[in-house]
Amino acid sequence: MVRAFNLLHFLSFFSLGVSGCLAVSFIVALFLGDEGVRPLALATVIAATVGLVLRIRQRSGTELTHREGILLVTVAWLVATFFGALPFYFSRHFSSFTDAFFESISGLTTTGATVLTNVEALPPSLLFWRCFTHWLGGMGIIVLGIAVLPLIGVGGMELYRAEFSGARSDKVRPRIAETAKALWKIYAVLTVTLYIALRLAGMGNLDAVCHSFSAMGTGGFSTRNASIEAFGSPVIELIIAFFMLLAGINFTLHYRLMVERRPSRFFRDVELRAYLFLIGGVTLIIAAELARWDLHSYPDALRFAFFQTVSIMTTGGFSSTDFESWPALAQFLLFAAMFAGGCTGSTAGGLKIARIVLLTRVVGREFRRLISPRAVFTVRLSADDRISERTVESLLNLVYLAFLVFFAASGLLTAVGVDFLTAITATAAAMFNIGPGLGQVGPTENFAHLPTFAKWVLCLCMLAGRLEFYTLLVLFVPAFWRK
Amino acid sequence: MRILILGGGAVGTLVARRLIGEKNEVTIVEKDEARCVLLQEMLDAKIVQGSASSISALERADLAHAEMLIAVTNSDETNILSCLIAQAHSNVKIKVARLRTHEVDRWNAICGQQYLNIDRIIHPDRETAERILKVLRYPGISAIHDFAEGAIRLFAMGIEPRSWLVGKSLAELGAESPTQSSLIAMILRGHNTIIPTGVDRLQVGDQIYVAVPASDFNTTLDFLGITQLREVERVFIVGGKQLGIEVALQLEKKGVAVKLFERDLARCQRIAEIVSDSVVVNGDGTDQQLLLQENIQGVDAYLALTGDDEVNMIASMLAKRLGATKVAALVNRPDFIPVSQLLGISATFSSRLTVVDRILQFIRKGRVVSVTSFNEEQAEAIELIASAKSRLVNRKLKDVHLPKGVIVGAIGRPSGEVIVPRGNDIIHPGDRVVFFALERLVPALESEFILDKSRGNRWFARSTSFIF
Repeated sequence: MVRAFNLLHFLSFFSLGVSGCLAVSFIVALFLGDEGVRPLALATVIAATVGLVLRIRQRSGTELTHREGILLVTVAWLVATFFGALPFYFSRHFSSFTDAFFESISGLTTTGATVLTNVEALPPSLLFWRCFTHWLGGMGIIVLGIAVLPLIGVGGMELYRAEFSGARSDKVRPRIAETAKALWKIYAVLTVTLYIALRLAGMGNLDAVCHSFSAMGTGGFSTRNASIEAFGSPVIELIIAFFMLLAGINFTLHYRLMVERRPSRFFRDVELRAYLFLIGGVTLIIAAELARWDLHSYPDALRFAFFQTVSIMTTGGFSSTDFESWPALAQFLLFAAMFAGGCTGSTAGGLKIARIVLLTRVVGREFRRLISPRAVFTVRLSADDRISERTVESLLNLVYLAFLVFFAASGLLTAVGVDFLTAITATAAAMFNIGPGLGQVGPTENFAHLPTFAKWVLCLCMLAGRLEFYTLLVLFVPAFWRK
Repeated sequence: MRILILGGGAVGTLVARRLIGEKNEVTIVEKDEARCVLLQEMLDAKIVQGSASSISALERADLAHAEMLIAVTNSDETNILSCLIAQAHSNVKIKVARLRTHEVDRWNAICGQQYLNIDRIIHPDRETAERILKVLRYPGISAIHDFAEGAIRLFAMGIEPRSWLVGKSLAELGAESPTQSSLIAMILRGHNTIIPTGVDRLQVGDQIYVAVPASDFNTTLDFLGITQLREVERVFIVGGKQLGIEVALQLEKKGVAVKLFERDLARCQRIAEIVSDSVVVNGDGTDQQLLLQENIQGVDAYLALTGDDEVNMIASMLAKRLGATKVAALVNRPDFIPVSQLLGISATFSSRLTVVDRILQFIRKGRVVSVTSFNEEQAEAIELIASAKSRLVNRKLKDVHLPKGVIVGAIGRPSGEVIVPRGNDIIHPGDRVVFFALERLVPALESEFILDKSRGNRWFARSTSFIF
């Protein structure tokens, strides 16, 4: 059962919250005195007005039902995207509302795919807003809502699980609001640290702020057309790569390390080890490949390979060089890394490392079952973390669903005339919230030339991927809407 | 406060819900996987799947940082074992365990010792038996709670269709009262709990809670038209579970003739070995033929105490029709309690709610002496010792702005004097004070009363509690 008044009650608070975030950018615009003042002011006022109008029919919300929770997450994301698109739309740097919406959802879902041909033409305050959306969407706007607004009580768990992939059973604190607060605090501390590091490395103030937001949210929007390559600084590349690496780690683990000071809990984590192993392995192979084809000297090959692997695997999507000119094996590995993604409970997208590890173990179990048919095997992530059959089942379903979406969306893109390579990489890059793909949407190109229909398909892919498919797609099941 | 609850059954869940509502951080350890999923959806708490007696499971539940442990799994052994682990592995300050064994007295004797150090053992059957025994003599009364060490009594009675109280306002009652010392603290009307004022009128089917100094108890009963039995002579108990046996044993001691009905023959034989004078009848205590044969007509009390709520409710109705003077039923599911009142079963007891009440006393900070909750936990009676720092002491009650939905039911002075206060009375430091409050106001009330906070009068005008 879905009660409209209940949703509207929460959405009114939510709109006011978005308005507050827009207001921050508006203040930045005032400070810089650029042409972003008017669009940001308009957007702030509109979001605030909608929030206040929804509050007029004052009927306080009650505990959310299961379905309301699921619906609220999707609707909240759409509402935030809509308000987030307004400043872009009013700025006249975007040719249509579709483009503005695409840019906004790409920002909030931390995809980082852009429709702008010339990023640098945008006023600095709008560049700020673009990267700010990455930061908000990275840890999750719903999780932020739970942390800041005391109004979400019991139903909060429903929302939290729908948005935050690491919510298996491992809450850092018993109360959900406390958990959300703790996660956001760690996120903020890391962001500030990154900002200071970038400033020390010689980056300008606005550039450092924007790239801090972008890297911690594993988004990928940059203030430059050439992305990180524009700075031409190995130190900056290393700093950003390192913090993307951190952002791709489960924030529960960061909590164990930073707050509880239990490094053993941190380093013994199976998912983290697999994550570091994969990044290390892919980096080394790509570096060797680059050196073999004499594209770079060994140190440079290692530098580019590391940055690009981290950037794609954590679904950041920055580029420090045009990897489309790389050899086929290197390109393939990056494409494969898109599917893996970061750890659960991180700001990264993708299928998530824990799922990949589990998947290989489920496959391994099947082999062992064939060998000894009557033996009973359980699937474990680590020695004391047995995975229930229910979880295994939902994992397999999720992977299946992800591939279904992947094929359906790629097919739709080719149907409107997008070439094959572009279609599949654009879909994967959107679904797993990475940003650049290959072909006509490679690191040096953008998404502007795609047909409008293709853009809307990709918008849906980005949101579906950010909310881990089920939350969004269940809304298309008729039974959801029945009493 | 960080609280660890072991066992996510009915009691664990009820306690957890209350504690979470009061802003505590609660972790629950539950064995059953499906139950864990359910708890995760219901409660804003951390749920850990595992055995409560497993050290590694307790570690996962962060035992080291817990300040309180509540062991309410359905196994006594697990509960004790987990307290033992907590004693060895952490510095949990307060430990509460539920035990069901009939050897509870022996356990009470050893649980305070160093190696175990359990602060409170809660025995659901014994505590419930005590509640049942209190009301047996008064057919019209469904519950009696004592406060201030017995100086203040709170009793609950249903308003019957032929009672002279129907339609009276509290103000009218007050004018006629002979003692001028009692107070209607609460009216339960279906699903609603009302903290009444003078203009509220009593209706048929209401359940009213009356606070009265123990010395005026009998006079007040006469005034309200409640008959008292001079003596309870014959009692029927249905269901030979531990609660039934406990009640039978207590009644025997007072020389009451008890007949205990149990369907299982083997169990009957074992019960017969435990009890001395009581008659154990092998048969269905809801069978009309059997009841008539055993002469139910004119029995003083019929207690339906089987493990099945529905059976207890139906059996009570049947017994009432067959002529039992007083009937009482064990109804454990809280959502059945209002329904049973609609069915005319005035006295219901829930061992789960009894346990919840007892546990909550330990959680309250400050000097709370006892807590009793009513009507699906919508309202609470809280007994506290007034602190000198509270802003309620040393002032006339009419000048203290209590929120609507809270009344001061009674004050017990250290001298032994007990009053049901009026506007001009003053609470002194050290007095025992009984409040009646809607549950949602309890946290605010506690912080106002216990802590020294001058937050100003953000509450509305004082509700006029009506004394009669």
